[in-house]
Amino acid sequence: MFRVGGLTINLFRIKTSRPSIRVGYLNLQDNSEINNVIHRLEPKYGCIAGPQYDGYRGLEPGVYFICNDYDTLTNDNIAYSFKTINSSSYVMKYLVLKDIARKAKELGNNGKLFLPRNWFAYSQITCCDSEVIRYSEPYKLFVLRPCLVLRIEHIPVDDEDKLFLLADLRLKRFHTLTLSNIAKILVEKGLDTRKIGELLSKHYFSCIDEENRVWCTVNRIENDIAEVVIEGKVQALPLNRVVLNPHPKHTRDFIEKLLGERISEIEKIQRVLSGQRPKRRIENTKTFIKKLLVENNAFPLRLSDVEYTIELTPQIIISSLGEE
Amino acid sequence: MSDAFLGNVLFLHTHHLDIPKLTFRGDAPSISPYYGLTIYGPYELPPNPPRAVILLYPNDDLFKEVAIKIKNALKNGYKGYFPGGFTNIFQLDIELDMINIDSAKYDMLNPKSTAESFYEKFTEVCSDINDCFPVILMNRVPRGLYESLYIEVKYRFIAEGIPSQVVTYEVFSDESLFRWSIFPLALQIFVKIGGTPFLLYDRLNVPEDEIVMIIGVGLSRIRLQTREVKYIGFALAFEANGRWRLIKWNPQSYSKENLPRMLRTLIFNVIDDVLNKYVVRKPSKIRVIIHYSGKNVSVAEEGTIRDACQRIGQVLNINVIPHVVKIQDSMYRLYDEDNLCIDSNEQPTHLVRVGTVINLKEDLYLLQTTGCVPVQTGKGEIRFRPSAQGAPSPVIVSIKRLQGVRYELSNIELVKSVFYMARMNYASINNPVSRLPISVKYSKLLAYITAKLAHRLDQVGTGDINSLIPDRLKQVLWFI
Repeated sequence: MFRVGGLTINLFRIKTSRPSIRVGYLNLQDNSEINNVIHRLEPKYGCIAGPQYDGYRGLEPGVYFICNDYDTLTNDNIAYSFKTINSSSYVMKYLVLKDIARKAKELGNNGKLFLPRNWFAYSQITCCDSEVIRYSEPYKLFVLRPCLVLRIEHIPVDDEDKLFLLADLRLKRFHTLTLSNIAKILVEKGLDTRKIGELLSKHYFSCIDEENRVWCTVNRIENDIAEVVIEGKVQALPLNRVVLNPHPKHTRDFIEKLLGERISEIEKIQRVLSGQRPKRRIENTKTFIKKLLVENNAFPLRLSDVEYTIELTPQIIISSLGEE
Repeated sequence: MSDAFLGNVLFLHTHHLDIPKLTFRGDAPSISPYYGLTIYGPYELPPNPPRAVILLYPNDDLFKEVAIKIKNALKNGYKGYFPGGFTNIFQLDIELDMINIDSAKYDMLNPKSTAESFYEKFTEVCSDINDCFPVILMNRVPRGLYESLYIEVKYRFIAEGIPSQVVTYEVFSDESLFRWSIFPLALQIFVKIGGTPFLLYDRLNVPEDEIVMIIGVGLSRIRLQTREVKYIGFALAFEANGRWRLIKWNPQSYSKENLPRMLRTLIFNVIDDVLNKYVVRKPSKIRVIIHYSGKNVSVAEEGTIRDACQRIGQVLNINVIPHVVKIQDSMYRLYDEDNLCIDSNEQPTHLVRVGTVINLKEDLYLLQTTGCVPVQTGKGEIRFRPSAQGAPSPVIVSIKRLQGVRYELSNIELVKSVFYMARMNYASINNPVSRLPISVKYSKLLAYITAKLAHRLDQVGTGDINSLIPDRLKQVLWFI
């Protein structure tokens, strides 16, 4: 028995051209060994691979993968086999996501997408429109971009394996508040190095120290070098590795009054768009899936001899009132 | 419904959980903390309330103006946002004093000496620390900082066993934020001096001779100044009525192999302590529901949870049944075409009712903790309104089945345990349901603040994280 009406959710069905798919398989039981093998298979052999840690819906534990060229694996005496599995099975969610990531990377390299730092992590992709919504004026220190956050979900419905794209549209604000940019603006305004150092010493910064971002303060700047304090220790860093804390609640006065960058306008746009109610947000998500993924040919994607297409209609959950 | 025939329909089991009522003074039930506190008063007064609340601020005209406004609002109330003031609502006769520190001694970039100035001034005016509760007015600092005025002030008072409340100039100088922040500020002060504002009126469905204990488990990875990395495990125990009982923690070197042992010790000690200190009559069965967030519980750690429960059961000759529930944020967004849920601008939001549960797949549920909620107006009427801006997302609740454990509580009862704990929020008066249950939220808060405090360990010359928090503080929710 079912209730009429339903809840609309930001899940978009991924349909397959064939019910099954042929994939490479390595029979492994140990979780860390599974992870290690995936990390080796992908960069070295150019494959995409997914883990199956436990037996689930007919899939045995191990690594499932697809490569362009299996001969190299054979030549390296890797004891893999082929398996034919359901093209919408659980492990395929990893392979589909990784293929989207591969395409997103290409699109990023071609300038068709903007990929932020850490764009692919924790089974999640963040890709942004290359077109911006708005730059702040007059120095373009801030920029607003629409970004899609993507995951692939596997949901068995009535005992049938199904894959969905879980997508959310977010308006992200990026900035270029490096000390080199800030110092340049302040010099243009006629301030000397001593005064600039004095102004900057009142703020918190993020220092890029050996690839890690850590909080720091600035003692003074000289030429292209900043003397910074990281966890109580004084260090010298190039100006482009020191970034002002971008959160307006901490640095609004400095950015607006001293630098003269107008951020209120893009904040207002961000507030309006981020405050959209779910119905509008899901509609907009659909529009950007079409623009960023479909029109850029990320979909349909092809794995082995199976084509995966996206349906641009969000799913509606109808409640079944029967026993669970 | 035309879309339904286009194949975009998912037939899934859904449930609706009613919002549990809260209980206030004289066991009076109410759906709203605001209504309950203003009409009936708090559930339980602090056993040893302080003589005075001392508001410390830098001696500067801007700070002074805000400090006076806060003091007046706490004393006399603030319009309908905080009617009648602290004494009227919390039924405690506490003095409210304002003391300034020399503004020359207030330096955001010299947090240690500024914190010392606040502390010195506090002890000058309050020789017995049990007698006063400090509220410190300062500027806002970025949250992630390991060395900041906020952390230094917290640390300075905590090191002496004094809970404190920090208020920021940026929030309380802004009228639109002030009015919504004054009641929550008073509520937090009341909790930190040992009061219980409210508890859950509705309970989980278990037989009378059984006990339910909810344990929130958290894990913090901290980096000491020596660059040594440690894990601190936390366990917070709550009774089924939402009453917080105790915190236990266990630091270990940063090594995955140590985690199962740490978890086993924590859970064993928490159950043992709660039973020894708070349970009057021996129950036939104890159901331990473990809530955690973030890190995956591996098979080895699941085993240790089961072992800890079995061991304590053998020691005490009680049947102890473990249930493990993982709670995560999600990026799902949903709307309900049939539910208008009108906002303050009279616009339909179509938000989903809070308490809606969707069984997405086996042992995995979406629970809407923010969305369309029933609220009680000042006149006691119930109406539905959005509890969040934008498009709130549900939390993911996954039930972890432990091998060899016979389950009797249904999955929905376990999801309900999460929902009920999300009703208990002593940091806000405006949201009838929090996004995260306190079992998880408090673990996260504790992990966050102790990571920052413990970072200073080598500065205070001790390697023992347990000694960081004096025993006196472990009796109150000092970290909220």
